Amino acid sequence: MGSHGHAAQPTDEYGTATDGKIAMWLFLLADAFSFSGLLLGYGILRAGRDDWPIPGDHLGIGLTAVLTFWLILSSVTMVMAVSAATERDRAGTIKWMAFTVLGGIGFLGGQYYEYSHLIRDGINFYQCLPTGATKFCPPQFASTFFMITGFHGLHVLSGTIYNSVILFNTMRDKFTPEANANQVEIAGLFWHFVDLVWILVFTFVYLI
Amino acid sequence: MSAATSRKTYLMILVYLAVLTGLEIGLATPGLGLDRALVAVGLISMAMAKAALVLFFYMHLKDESRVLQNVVILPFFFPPFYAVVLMAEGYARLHGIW
Repeated sequence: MGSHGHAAQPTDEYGTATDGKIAMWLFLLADAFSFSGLLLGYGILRAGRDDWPIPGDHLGIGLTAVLTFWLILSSVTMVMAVSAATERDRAGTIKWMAFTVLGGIGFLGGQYYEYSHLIRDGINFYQCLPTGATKFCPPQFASTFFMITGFHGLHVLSGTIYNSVILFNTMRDKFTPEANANQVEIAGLFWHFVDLVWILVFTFVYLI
Repeated sequence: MSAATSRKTYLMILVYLAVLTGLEIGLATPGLGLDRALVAVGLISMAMAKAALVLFFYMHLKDESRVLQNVVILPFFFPPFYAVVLMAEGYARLHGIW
């Protein structure tokens, strides 16, 4: 508000970005720093030990590579949904959003498979005692792994639920096509962020 | 979102992401005899390139105003700085450098 009680003049500093889109960007920025904090903690713990194992000795890189590509594919279906929504293509939006939701469910299924096998083999949140291991594995290796990938998995779950809500809203014609396009685009930002974070988690936690 | 970003572009980005992921996995394969520090630098560089492709093309940050681009990008200069300082401190403490 100005000194005379008039509303501030709108500016074009944020271009055509809607309020919802700017709000999502700010949320993602805050969320990105949550992940940064976790990865920083991981890096500090790892740099402070000389008995940190090579991740590939305990983690299934092949399965995770498939999951990584799967998540990237779901980013493509999401961006297709955004394109369809922008073009007011209702059927296309529904189709691509449904694929994206399936992508999220598939990733979560893969993560469940990975976790269940690790836990069965003696690696869980509290300890790293893999069956038949000859080298010491610090418990921090396991706890940071489950903490970071679990926090990311929670984001995949949230994003899948969020995308499902947007999908059903589109099917029910809850919003005008223009408003719906905005909703799909904002949901898309969140989903791409989940993909972007996984790209970094895959590199730092699994590959390096 | 810009209409200029076509579906063809999205598919090209997918190809780049797939190729970079393949290169990453190849580089991380044990037994190549490469220096681990160099491998880490290569892997981090490729991960950053992939993240940038998603950020600019799939999240359409390239089409946003300069102010919004700065709001999103500039804060990310801090975490790598903290990482280098704090990890160096941990490494130095471990090896009794100070």
